[in-house]
Amino acid sequence: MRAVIADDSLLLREGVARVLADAGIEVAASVGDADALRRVVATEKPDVAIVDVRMPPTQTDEGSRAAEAIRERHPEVGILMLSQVVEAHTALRLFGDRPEGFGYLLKDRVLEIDDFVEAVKRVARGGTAMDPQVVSQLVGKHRKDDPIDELSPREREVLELMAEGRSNAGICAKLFLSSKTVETHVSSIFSKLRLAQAPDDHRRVLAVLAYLRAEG
Amino acid sequence: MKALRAALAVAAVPFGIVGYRILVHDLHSSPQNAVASVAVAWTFVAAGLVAWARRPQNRVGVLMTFVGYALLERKLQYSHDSRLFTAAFVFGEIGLGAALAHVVLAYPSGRLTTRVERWFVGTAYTAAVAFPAAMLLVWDYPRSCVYDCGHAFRQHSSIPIAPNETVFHALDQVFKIGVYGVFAVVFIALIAWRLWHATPRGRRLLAPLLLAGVVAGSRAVWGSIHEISGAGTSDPFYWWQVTGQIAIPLALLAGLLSARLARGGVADLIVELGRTPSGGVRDALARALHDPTLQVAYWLPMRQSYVDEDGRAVELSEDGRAVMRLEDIAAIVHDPELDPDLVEAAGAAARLALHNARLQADVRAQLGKVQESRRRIVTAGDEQRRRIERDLHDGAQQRLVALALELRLAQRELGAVADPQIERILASAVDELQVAVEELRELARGVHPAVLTEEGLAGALESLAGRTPVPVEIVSAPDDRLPPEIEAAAYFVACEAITNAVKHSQATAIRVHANRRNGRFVIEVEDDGIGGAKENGGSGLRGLVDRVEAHGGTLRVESEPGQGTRVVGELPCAR
Repeated sequence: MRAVIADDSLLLREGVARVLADAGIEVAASVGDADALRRVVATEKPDVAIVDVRMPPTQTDEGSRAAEAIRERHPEVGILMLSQVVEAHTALRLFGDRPEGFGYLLKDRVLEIDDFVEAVKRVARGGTAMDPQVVSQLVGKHRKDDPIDELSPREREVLELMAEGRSNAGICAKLFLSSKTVETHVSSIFSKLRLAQAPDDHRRVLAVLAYLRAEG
Repeated sequence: MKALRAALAVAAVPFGIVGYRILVHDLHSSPQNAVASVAVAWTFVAAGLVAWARRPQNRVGVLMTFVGYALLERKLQYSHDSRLFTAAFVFGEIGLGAALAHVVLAYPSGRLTTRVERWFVGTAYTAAVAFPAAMLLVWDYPRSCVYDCGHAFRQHSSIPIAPNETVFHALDQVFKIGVYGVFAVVFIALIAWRLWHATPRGRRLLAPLLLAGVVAGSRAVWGSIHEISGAGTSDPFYWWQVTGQIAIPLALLAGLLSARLARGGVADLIVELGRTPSGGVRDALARALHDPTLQVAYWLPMRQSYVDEDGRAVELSEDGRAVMRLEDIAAIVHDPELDPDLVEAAGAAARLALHNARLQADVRAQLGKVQESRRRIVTAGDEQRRRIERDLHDGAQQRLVALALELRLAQRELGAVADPQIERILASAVDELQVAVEELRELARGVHPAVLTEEGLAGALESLAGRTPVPVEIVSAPDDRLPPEIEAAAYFVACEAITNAVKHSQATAIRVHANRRNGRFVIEVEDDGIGGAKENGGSGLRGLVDRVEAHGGTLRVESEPGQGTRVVGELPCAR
């Protein structure tokens, strides 16, 4: 598995590179701005690019614009966006209708090394990684007669982990539950939210996000 | 002046009688025709003297009197006395020609306003004297004649230097057909031009011009036909001419006196200004001068510029308008057809009121500047906040995360070998750094939320709702971006109102509406709490009132005890 890193902080870039190397992921390139990112993605063809949202020169949204361009031209490359602030509105705009191979995490998540590496690998394999803070913003969004209120606390936890993009196995590991129990929770959630069962993880994330983003 | 006018009035009587005698005895006119001819002259003299007395500043009265006397003088040229004839003949053509054109074109101001008019009148006077004078020099008695050549009516020039009938006849023809014809056409064209360009108010005043144009035109046609065909005067046409000629001075007099009536309006103006608030000076002036298009511009010496009643800068456009400047106070921009004397009189009458209005305009202009600077201060403050947020984001936050990651990696490296004590210290250092990062993030969000800059109001409100412990329903939010100062003001209103609702009102539900209504942007936050909040209760709300008002908006708080609280901010927003 190969990755490229784009972040204007050299210290952080090197730290992330070490984390990835320790986890057996080859860091093909590590760059400090959006133009360089676009170049190395084209030449290195990595499995995943880890991209800071704000980069020079304007420090506004170079990262996310570069990410959009890369998703357009190299749909096989997974993109994991890192940001100092995460917002549901921004997340949903960046995800668009394609949660495959896309992640959006608060920058501090790199400190939880195992979770972070897991997320990088998931995105590299075409999965999804949505920041828990975004998920809780979406889940906390108030609606009238929200079926989410019918979920048990455990089911709510499972829903949030699904929305983060985790597979059943990931959820089992996170909550220390058996895979059977998780499956039961998942089907219960789908029936309470009146959603059709999704055949795979990608479409499951899509269904859950679509449900969460829907206006009350 | 009064004595001169009296003398002219008295002298016109014997002068007219002498003229009548000459017409009847020497020219053998019928008595009716002679009476009519003298009556035309007398009407001009009488109307002229009345106009002169009532409007001494206006030269139209003097000019009308002059036309009357020129018409009386014209009768003397029919005398058989050769000296009297010679003297009278030279000036005989002035009355119904140059002088009449002069008074008609000078009406109503008494002055010729365009260069073309001045040129035309000057040339007309010159031609009216030059041709008769030249004819007298080549007068060939007894063959030469200019009036009623069929009768045994022959005059002697007293100054025939080179009698020559051919030259004489040529001059006579050129003068009567060529010069008169050309001048009549130009005169009618000038009148048509004046009528065409007159303002609606001016057009009413210009009716005498129209009359004069018709009379002059028909006289020229009649004159040319008469001259060319040699046909005699047709009676109905003669009387029509006389009626028209009498009507001209009467129409001119009526026009001048109606302006005089407007002067009575100035007296009403003084009374009215005593009652109207100063904002109504313009309207009062417009009414008194019967000019609804009238504008007043106030002079601000500090700024060296003119402003309107609301203190907004204005340029005095001279384009098709007349400007009357009242030194150091104001300028009245008005219909050019208005009598300048009248405008000046009205301006003088309104002087005190204009002075007051100028002071008010000055205050409004200064207030406008203060409001403008208040808005700039708030906008600059927002800009500063955005920059602080960005600096925190790109600086401290970034470094702390990188540093925490370094420590985390060190912790992992040492993990297996190190003393559990060091392991604990490193772990807690990373935790502390994470807390610091989180606190900085909250601080930056409070200073200026990044989501507001990046996603606009809808995204920022959604984020705000997601972070609020009480359920917040965003009922409406704009889909598009608004000017940044409006977004910031609306966001901070919502933020403060929601914070207050959570802290003080025991609310269980909050609803936010953010949308455009009639050119304004309205942000409304309502809760179902205990109510009783006060607009000036907290410094937070006070600061919001300042912020909203700086952008020309309003903020109100409705909070009856037990009824919940409703905070409504309205901001002007054209887009």
